[in-house]
Amino acid sequence: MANWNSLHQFGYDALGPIVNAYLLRLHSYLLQCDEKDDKVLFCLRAGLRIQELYETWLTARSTEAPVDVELLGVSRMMAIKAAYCFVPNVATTALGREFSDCSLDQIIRSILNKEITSGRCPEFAPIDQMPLHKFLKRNDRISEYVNNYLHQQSKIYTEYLARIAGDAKRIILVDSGWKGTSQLLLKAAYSNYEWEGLYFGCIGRAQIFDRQPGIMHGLIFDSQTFRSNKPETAFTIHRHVIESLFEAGIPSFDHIEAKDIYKKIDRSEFLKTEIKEKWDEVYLGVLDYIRSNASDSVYEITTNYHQAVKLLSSAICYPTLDDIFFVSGKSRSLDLGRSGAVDAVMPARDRFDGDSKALRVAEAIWPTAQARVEYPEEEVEKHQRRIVTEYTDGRSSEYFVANEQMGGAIGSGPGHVAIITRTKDRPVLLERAAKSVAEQTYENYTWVIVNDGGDIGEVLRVIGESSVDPTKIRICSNSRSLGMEAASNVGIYGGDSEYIVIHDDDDSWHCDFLKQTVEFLTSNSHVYDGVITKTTYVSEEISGNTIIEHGRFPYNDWIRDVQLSEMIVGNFFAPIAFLFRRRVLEEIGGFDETLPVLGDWDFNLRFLMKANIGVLPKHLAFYHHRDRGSQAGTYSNSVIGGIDRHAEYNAIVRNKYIRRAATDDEFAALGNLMALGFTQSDTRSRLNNVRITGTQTGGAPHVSPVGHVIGDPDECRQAMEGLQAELDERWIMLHQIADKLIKAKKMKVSAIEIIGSTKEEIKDYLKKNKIHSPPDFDDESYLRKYADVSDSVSKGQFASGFDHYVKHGKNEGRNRPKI
Amino acid sequence: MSIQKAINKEAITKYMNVNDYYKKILEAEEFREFYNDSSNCYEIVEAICDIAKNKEIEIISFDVFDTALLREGKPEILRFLESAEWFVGRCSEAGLAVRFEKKDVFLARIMAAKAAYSISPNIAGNREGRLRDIARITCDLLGHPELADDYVTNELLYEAASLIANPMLNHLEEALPDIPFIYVSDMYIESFDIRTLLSSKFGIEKIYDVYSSADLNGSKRTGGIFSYLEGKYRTRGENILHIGDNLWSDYKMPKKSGWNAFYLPVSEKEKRKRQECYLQLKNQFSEMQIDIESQLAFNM
Repeated sequence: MANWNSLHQFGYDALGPIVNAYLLRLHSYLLQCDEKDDKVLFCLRAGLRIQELYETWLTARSTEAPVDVELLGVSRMMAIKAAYCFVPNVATTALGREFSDCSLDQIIRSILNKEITSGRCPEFAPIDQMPLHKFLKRNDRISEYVNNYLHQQSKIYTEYLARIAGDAKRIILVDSGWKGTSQLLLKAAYSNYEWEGLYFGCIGRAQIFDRQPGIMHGLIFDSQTFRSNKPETAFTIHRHVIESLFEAGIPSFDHIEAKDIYKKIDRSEFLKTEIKEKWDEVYLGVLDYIRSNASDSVYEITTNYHQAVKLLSSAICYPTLDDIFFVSGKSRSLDLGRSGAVDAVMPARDRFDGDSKALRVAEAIWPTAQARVEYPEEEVEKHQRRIVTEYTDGRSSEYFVANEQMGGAIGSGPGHVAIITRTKDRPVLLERAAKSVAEQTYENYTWVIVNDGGDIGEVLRVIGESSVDPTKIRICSNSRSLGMEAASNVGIYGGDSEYIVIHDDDDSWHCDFLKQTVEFLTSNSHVYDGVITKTTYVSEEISGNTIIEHGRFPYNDWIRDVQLSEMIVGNFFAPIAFLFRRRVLEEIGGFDETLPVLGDWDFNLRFLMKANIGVLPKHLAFYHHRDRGSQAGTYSNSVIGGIDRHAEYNAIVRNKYIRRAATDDEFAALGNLMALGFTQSDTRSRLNNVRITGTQTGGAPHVSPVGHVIGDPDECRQAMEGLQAELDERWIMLHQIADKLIKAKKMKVSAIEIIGSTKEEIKDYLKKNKIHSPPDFDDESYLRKYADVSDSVSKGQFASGFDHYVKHGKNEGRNRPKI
Repeated sequence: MSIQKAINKEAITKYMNVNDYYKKILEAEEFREFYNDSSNCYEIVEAICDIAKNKEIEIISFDVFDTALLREGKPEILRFLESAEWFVGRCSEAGLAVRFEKKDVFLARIMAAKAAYSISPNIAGNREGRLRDIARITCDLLGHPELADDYVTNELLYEAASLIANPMLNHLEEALPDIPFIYVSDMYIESFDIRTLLSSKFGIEKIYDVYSSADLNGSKRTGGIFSYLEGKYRTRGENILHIGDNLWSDYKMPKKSGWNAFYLPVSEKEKRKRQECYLQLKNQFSEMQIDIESQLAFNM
């Protein structure tokens, strides 16, 4: 059953209360404006009706506007033209975006619309397609005309605005909405004013390069998405109903003449020529409502508004066919100098080959209504719900609440994080860690500092000077050092946070680390119990009390997931990047205190045997290394300062789990994997050594005792090329000898034939003849190495070490030594 | 395994809070009662005196509302509602023929505050609402612009009735007689009205200087007030200690600006009480089809 019986009634009952509340809010904002410093301008075309409604409202309440208001001739096209002189890139980009589906010819004709219709612009042939900015830089007749025209428009508009604004410091635009493109362009062009906008609603903010509109106030709503608990946000799904309401049937103001500079726009002049449509009866209904109800009490206006917006929201989100008739609005005019119109709801038939219901719904001005006309009754609600969901993101408003501390409870409870920081006599680094914690946007944490045998006075001093909330700090001070892993356990013990993260005193975070990792685990609780973020390696050194940074590099950027089979090779993420659930730690036990290094690797292995770790692909953790200068002792990293110990304890950790596998079934798989992990680690290490060793020996590639070519890859290639050159030279020598033989013997064969036949006879030749060593064979070394060969050569059984090598030594696996 | 060993190591490890009095503050049932207990005040006073001595503090600056002056355990919207009731009552007592009721005044007031904060001029990166603007707008929306001054008077009387002086300041003054106290507030009430409130509670002779964000010299929230005051007193921030209950405005921002800061939070129970009351009221309004939350959110 229809909610309304006529368009007038729809305007009166459905939109009237909403507009009444809008005008009440508009009035409250205008009351705050300053007569001298502010200029309030109602923007054509919507401003025309908003002004009429506002004046009707004021009359009904027997009051006056608090500031002088004036109508401003403006549109997006006019704002683009006005901005062209001052910020041509911004203006042309805005133009390009507005006309993204039009040809260049169409764009130019839209810009010159008034010039063409008035006859001022000479006719021109269709313009070839090219980028707009390139066209504007050309020297041909029409490009020059367009440029001159735009400059002229900009100049006239500047004078016009200066006349209107007078001595005002701030210009306040009043308009329907939505992204503030005109405000952005005017602000970019006329930065000598402050610009603000009072809109019925705001849906995001326009952006061109780094330009934004500035401050915009959505008096009824300010949201990019629909939120079911804020029914006014339904206008994000169908704002056209408001556009239609406010859009008077007058031409768009997209051209200015010099005579307009001093002409005050008179509403009545415009209304004389206004073209009214049937749907404009809605506006008349709203006007009647305002006359009758503007003087209602604030409470009545507010409650009527809330009731009306709830009903309209339902009609927008889940419209019936009757709703569509009332709520669809007028055909949407193609502005920006174009003629034509588009209906809010298209006919449910194909527009072209390849068209479909889904495409029409996606492109419709009012998609939930389009779904209503496209799909059968039994499917409509399903499609409408899907569309409404697409417009929803569930996030809270971007406003903050002034003067009320309603923040979340601090302490234990869901989402609470225990940040464990181990420290010992590193106040310079602890200060940075404190800053990292203090700047976290997520506030539901306790910062547990474990002073592991260091000077507690310094720790308290650093904390006292930091801006971390002191009520969130707990200190565990060990009278003597217990070691890194025991220190972690001390900090963790006794807490009841949901999450834990080890924030070492020498590392740091992006301010959103906790916020994003907690969100990740909350959203993926059925899959992951831990999460790591991408990490940035920071190379630094400490000089006195100053930290000097030398560079930043992605750390293990190849990480896409956390595989146990990769972890068994070696630890590949830093503790600073890892947030995990306390519940898992309690199952697997804490950190192994017997390990002076690699305790985090050991922990991660056991963690992965129980639970999965996800990867948040954002660089939110900073892994600092004092890898320059002499950083022995206190300020060294365990990774850098303790490299030898890492190798030592790698074996100890592996052996631990292999042994444990023998007695504990739970570790059977891990034990096997540790053995496999060693093999992988060893293989990778050897591959790495091919490069490292070559670099360390000065670069010359050589063959190792086991016959591996060792050296830098580039140098190996050069060596190969050298060998090839030598082979080529020997071929030439063979050729030469063959030729000499042919001449001497007056043979009637070629050198190639002789070489080829010689090759076939080589084995026989080898058996019967003694061979002297070639220049590159280190005979001396061969004979020194193989005493039996040396003995045979000295007895005359072989002519040389090479003679033995080619006849026997090679087959026996003896090395061929090169000089 | 390791956790057990940690338990065994308790003798080696000492657990502590940064300051033990925070535990008491956060757990206090009602923070007026907390400060009425001298022993609670002495701990805090001692800690402040330590800072004053170690850092050679020349001036101590106090936040006003919920620090120097203690409110009742009510959320702001309840205060607005009660103040609205007072106003309607006073108008009635004065024999004024008004067309509004308590709920009209309340709704007009929050609408006015939103407008005042949202579109007041931006001065040095700061937007502030002022009580006189809020009063003017409220009364205009009620159809009685002529009552603006009465509205201001009513609100100040209501504040005066619902605030008490924090006894801790008297103890602190005794302990540090040579250090002047100033008062710095982020509030829509201008400094001369706040001075009146403070004087009525502490005695006029004890109030040195008062500053409000409504005076448009900057705010604690955006940090502008700190450099302003350094210039005014010709001293550096490291010689000033600011004390207050808001973690951002009274602790982080002063520290960021180079001042010393002492955090004196409202107890968790107090906050929860206010929040529960707020939610109750929000639901009541929701039943009347009014969404209070969107009106309380300020687009600044």
